[in-house]
Amino acid sequence: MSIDANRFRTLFPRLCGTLTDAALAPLLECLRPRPFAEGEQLCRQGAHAARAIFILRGEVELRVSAPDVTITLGVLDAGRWTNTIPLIEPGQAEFDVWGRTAGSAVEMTYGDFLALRRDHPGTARVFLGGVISDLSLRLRASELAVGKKSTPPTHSVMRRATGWLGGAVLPPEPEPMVIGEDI
Amino acid sequence: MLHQLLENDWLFDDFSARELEQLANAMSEREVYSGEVLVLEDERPDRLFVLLEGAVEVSRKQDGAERVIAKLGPGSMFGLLALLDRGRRAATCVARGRGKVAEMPRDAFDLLYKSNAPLADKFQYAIARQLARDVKQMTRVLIAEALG
Repeated sequence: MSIDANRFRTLFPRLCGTLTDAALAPLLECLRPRPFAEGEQLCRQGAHAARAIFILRGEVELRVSAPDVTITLGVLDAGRWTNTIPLIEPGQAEFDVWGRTAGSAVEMTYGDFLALRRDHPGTARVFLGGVISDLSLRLRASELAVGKKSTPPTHSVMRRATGWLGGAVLPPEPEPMVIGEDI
Repeated sequence: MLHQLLENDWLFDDFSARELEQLANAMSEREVYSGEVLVLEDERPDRLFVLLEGAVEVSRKQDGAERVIAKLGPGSMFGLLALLDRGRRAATCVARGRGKVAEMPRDAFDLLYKSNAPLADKFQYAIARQLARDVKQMTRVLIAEALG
């Protein structure tokens, strides 16, 4: 089952760029539906992570735990995504992802992304451009946040799309570079 | 030859010999001395670096002092973030010990990153890999701080 192109485009404009419907189709075809329930765990800290999660409806919560403490890193809702790093370099998940409400998402595995790069490089390029733009924001936010450890509960909410703000204030979002405009 | 040095870099392990040559043609190689400031926080970016030999310390200003946030070894790309988001340098990068870097001027970076050539696809992926590694490292630092 493929997700509706217009809905995906509306929710994730940065991942779609200026792709035509025909160019976007291969991306949508490799996304797998992932409904989730309130309190359901979608990803476990420390487990092998090999799929990205794109939220269509509802909210998920990102949590990280140590032996005697669990903190909420952030809450993501429709149009946000998480776990894109495993599309580039699979490895251990850094945090838990839990359904905060019931909702639905779509997932993309590392293998799906490799196939997209191989078979539809133009589409993969635009998609990866969006992922890179997001990772850049996260890195910028992280570097601002280091050393500015806040105390609960203010550290508990990450209100920006996928940033690890920890209380940091982001500068105005710069204009990202646009690639593959002719695809 | 620079393309032979780049061949050993994990970021470019899927580049063909021809593609490595093309990449090397967009870069220049030079030696760096210990203590040399390669990237200065808050400056406008003018180039991308690939560390070929030696070590680089990454730091940020914090409460009037420099706080080291990462140490890089050979094979790392740095000076990337400000080129991507068109902001200012996020951190200062200083060579620790003698080393060697490859530099790509901003114009060449923009040209290659925005190009539709097959080489650009691989270059973009190499950037994504470096960025993913950087984000993971910073995430670990932040989580460690948050967990105390």
